[in-house]
Amino acid sequence: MRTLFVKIFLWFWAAMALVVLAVAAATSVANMRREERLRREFDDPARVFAQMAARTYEREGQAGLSEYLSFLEGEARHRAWLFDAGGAEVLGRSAPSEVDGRARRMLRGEGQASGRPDARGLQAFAVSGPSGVRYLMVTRRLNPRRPPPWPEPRTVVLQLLAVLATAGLVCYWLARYLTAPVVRLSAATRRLADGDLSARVGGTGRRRDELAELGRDFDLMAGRIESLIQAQHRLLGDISHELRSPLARLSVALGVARRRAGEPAASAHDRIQRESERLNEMIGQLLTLTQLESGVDEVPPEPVGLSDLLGEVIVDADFEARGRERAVRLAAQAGCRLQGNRELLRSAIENVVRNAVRYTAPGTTVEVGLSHEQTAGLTRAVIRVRDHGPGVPPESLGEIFRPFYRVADARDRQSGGTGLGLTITERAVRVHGGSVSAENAPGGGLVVGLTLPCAGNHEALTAGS
Amino acid sequence: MIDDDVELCELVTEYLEPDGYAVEAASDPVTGLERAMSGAHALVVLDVMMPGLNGLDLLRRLRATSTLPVLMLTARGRDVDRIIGLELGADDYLPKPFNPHELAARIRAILRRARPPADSPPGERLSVGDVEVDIRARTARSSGALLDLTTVEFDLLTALLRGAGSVMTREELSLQVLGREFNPQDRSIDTHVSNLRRKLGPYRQGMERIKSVRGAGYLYAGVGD
Repeated sequence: MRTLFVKIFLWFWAAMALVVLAVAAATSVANMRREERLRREFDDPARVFAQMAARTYEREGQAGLSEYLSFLEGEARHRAWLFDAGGAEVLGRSAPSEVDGRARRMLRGEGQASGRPDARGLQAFAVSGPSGVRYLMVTRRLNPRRPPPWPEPRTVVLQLLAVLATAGLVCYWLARYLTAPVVRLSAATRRLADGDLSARVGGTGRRRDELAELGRDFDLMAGRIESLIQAQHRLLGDISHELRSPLARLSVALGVARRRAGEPAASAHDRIQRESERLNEMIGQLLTLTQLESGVDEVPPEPVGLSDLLGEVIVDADFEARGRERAVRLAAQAGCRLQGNRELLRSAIENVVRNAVRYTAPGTTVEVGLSHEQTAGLTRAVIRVRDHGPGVPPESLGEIFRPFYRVADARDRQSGGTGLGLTITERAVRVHGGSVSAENAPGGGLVVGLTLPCAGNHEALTAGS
Repeated sequence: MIDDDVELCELVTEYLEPDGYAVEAASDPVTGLERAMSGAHALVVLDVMMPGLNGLDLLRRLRATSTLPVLMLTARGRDVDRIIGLELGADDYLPKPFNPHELAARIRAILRRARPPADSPPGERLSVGDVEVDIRARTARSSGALLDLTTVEFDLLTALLRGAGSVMTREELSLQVLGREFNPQDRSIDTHVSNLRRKLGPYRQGMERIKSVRGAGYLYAGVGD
């Protein structure tokens, strides 16, 4: 759910960290270059010092050289020793052993005169004086202070951590800023889709960007949908209610007419009564449906034992079916207790069973089963109602729960359905957090499944009849 | 008959008069209540879905002073009205629209119960524990104190006392007390039982007098049970 947040956060964070690392790498490469150049520049003065020392020694003797070397030491921070070809220090000073060693190795031809200071900071140059005599000068740079090419590892780690922490904070804030309204919008959309028509995004605060705009547009849309649907429900409810009064009068008037007309008109009166009962049933179902759709549940939820309820429905349905050479049989393999509206659940089950009785072939039995299904730690009860009728064309299986949907017009009207029974079933089951399904059974007939979540402890199994 | 649908009242009058009933119709609840309190009637047919003074309020006020039998007309699908109505002491109910034949049958059943049976021996009494019922006079006493019961409640108590100590199914009670076949969707019996329980109160030891037997029915328990 938070993937967009995580994505934005990680991408920006990685990008920031990479940029910082790249800049750091480029800076150190530049530093190394500068170091190289500096080093080269540092070589050259030492060579010049050597030539100057040889010339001074030849022109001004030991005193001049001594003066020059002290000048070098004081001003140029180089201490120097000048050797003649025999390896003797020309001023007769005793050089430190490493300096002496370096000079001898050079004179023996091992090692080259190189500008690079060695590990001890020594440089050796072979030069010729104006008279052509060859000398060897070894210099040591005093206090070789140079910038280290790489900063110390500890500093690097600290800097990196500081960068990552700062970047992390900024990116977290950015990702939140971008995704928070999206999360709110998606929550509101889901609530609306679940039938909560009052769902709004609301309170975008001081935001004035595209996301805030989207939220406000969503609220406008939801408001419009809500008022439209409420108006529709109110109208449907009012119509249904108002139809009841004339129907009540019709029913009493029919009673009066029956008394007065007597036997000859009986069949016509029966017909009028049947039709007015059908009208009444349809109005009742419309009212139930309106109540279900508007989510108004007047009756507080009560514990309902599903197999008991199923048993009651089956006994009634079987009694009615036997009069039409059909039967209903219950095979409950499990029990289930749930919180809900008993009457709604009863009519949900009853509608499916009655529908099955209506379509099953004469002499066949409608089989009703109750079983358990475990998914993700949640126990669900599955009620399956199977008839031995003509079934439903595969393309219409999803449609049979729609109001007034009829698979085959002529026969359905004759068989007397209101066209609302299965719709009520679907809505009632959904109100209880369940779902419905329909499929054709292998070997013919329709199987309607009602899946309902069980609450808490399971009802003791009551044997089916 | 108290119903705001004047035409329906006329039709019902037309249907019931040949059976020998005298019907007075009141389309206004306030007048209806006044007339019902006048003591001139044997039974009230009351529509609980009326504008203004709600039928249930009317029933509550009527029951405050009178045990006149009341048959409610309720709207189908409004289970709440039905349950509250029965709790308030209505004797029976009929969902609207109704078959007038059914209405006449219910009225007959209620009136039969309300009238003391002519064939019962004078002074027949039933008593279980501290509860005593005089069938002829249609009075019930608990520890000597007169109980204020509606006709249905009286019949229910009588039926339970007759079968005291054994379980009476809802089917039996429905047939004996309401005079009709039991319908599982109809909880009238349960509501009447809970009303009766409230009026009787428990035994002094705190024990319930009328026990529910799950899946079976009700049982009137003697003190020692």
